[in-house]
Amino acid sequence: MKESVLNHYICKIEGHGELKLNYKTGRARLEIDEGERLFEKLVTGRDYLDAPFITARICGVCPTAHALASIKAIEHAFKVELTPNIIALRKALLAGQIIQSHSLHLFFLALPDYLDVVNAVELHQERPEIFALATTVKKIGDQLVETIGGRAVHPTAPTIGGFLSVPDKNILKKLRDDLESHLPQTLEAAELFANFKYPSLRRETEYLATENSEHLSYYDCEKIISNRGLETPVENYAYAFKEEVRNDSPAKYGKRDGHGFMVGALARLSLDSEHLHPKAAYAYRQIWQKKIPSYNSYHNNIAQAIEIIHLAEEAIIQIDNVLNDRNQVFKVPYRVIEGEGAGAVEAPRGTLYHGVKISEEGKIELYDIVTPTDQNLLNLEEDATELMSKHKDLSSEKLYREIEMLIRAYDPCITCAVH
Amino acid sequence: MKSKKPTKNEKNINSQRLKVAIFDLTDCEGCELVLINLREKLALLNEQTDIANWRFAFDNHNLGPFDVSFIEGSPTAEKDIEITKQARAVSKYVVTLGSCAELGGIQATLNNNEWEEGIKEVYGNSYKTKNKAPKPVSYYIDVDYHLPGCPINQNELAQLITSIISEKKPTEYRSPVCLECKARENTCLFLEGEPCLGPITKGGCEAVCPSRGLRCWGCFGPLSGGNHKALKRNFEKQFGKDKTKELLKTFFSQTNEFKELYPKEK
Repeated sequence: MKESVLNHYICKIEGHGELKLNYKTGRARLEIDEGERLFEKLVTGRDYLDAPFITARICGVCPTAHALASIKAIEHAFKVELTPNIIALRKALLAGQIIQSHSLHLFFLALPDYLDVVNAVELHQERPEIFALATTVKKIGDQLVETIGGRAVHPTAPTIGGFLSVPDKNILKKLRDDLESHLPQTLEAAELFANFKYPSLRRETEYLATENSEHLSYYDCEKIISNRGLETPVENYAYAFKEEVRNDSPAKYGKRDGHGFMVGALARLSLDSEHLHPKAAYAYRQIWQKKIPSYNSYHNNIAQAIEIIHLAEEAIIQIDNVLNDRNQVFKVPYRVIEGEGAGAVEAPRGTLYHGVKISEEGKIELYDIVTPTDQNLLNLEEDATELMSKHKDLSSEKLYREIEMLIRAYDPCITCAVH
Repeated sequence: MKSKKPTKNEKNINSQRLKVAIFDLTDCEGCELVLINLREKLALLNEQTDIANWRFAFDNHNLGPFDVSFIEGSPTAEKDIEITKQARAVSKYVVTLGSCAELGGIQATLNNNEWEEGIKEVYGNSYKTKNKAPKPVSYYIDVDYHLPGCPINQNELAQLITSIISEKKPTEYRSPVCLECKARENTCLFLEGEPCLGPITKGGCEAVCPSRGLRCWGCFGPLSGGNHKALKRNFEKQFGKDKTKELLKTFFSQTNEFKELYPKEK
């Protein structure tokens, strides 16, 4: 029998990748092996209403982020004016999405690297208190998305102009109280991840994220900023960086001034740690106590853990905003007009952009999707290459393992990268 | 890389425990997320069965043989097709997980020509792919059972696993989405003039979309024995021929029901 393909790919990452270390050139490469689904092509020619439903299917881990970016792009094209209650509810939904994804990554994909177990479910027997923590934190995100979005994977309720339906006030109130009662567990999770010993790595890079007029923002993404002076409106995303096609890879590679750059939790925390909510700020300053930017990409894990706390607090604030708002209408009318639009959200892994051109009849004429993992891939390879040159003393097995841990720390979503 | 060490649980292994593998091909991995979202129950599942190969959440060193292999996603990449065939060769039962594996998924709505055209549009002319347009798993191998949906439903998953453990033939859901939708006392979106595919779509989803106001898109696949022709006629009157085809195509493009409605489609 020929070589088996049943154990071919890197475990515990989203999608199919293979790590290739070239000792002659000293270069590391994450080979991407995913079929092209061509989502841009799939939605072209279809009704605008279909785009959020279809593009959510790019990724089972962050479908709500895709649906929201798609909705925002279309609303931008139609010049839809939303009411504050709709925006608040979307912010709570997006917070839930990021908590879901971060807790999946931290507990189920990354944690085994640091606790010397093969998979997280083993912890059920060996460290039941950690397994309970994992399921509790995961549940916080799942419940937010299920209650507000309609389903934990692939949301049903969000639409252009607002929501198709919203939960009753008493259900929202319960969701909010549940969240509050579980904040201590999010802090426990941060403590767990802050105390792991991460491999050493320091390579200065450019961090990108989006902000509104005042601070870093997950939903009100007005401009793209970086630690090297980039500042441009989100609509200009196509000019902020290049998406390079490699002839042998179905993923594209984000590049700025000839180099990789980084998006996601660590980039966001490095760009703005001043506006964390109180408990997240406490975790950052008192529990982790590290200086940011640390330029160690392994710290993306702890940055995600801090974001979980921040976003749980954010969701409570936003649900309170919804509950206190006299306006309980969650859908605004709009007119279908010819136009172009760009929509961005801070997705779990970084800034996600959707761009759309719509005809007078509401047909999609052009569609563009730029995912966070696309933007991170080159930086990931640059980090891995740095590790190869710094750790010539390590056995190839150890080096391979350390780079595999680096890949997992980036939390790449290869199905997003190849969409 | 480390090999799997025996857990406490495996030391008193029940040799009758079902040996399970979970493979993912080209897709969104959302159905695997439905499994992970079992949370505490996932530990229970791992006690009742032996999850021996699961790349996404466990590890993949065990190469079989397996009692049951779940396959998620549509064979597209070169290796997807190899994994599909090898999984079949070492598994007693093969079960597809979700609509990509069963029906080819949304991505299978592009025929071979459109798909190749799309590759050029998205990647440019100098990019060459080794991959093939997405197809259902059954295009390449025999499949024993299907767990439908985009994504799958947790209760259906539990029922299927219980059936296989107790060596009973799993029962297929035989009613349309409308039955569950009515039971939930939802407003009928079809009667409200929405292009809802509930009347001709297999249920089992607990009407999760219409319960939140979203029309049924048909992700559980066509209901066998459903009156697809009548719905097509009705839709064509309301929404026109092109739109109707687009609606039916989204999840049904590779099914016999669709091919009967549109015999000239390639």
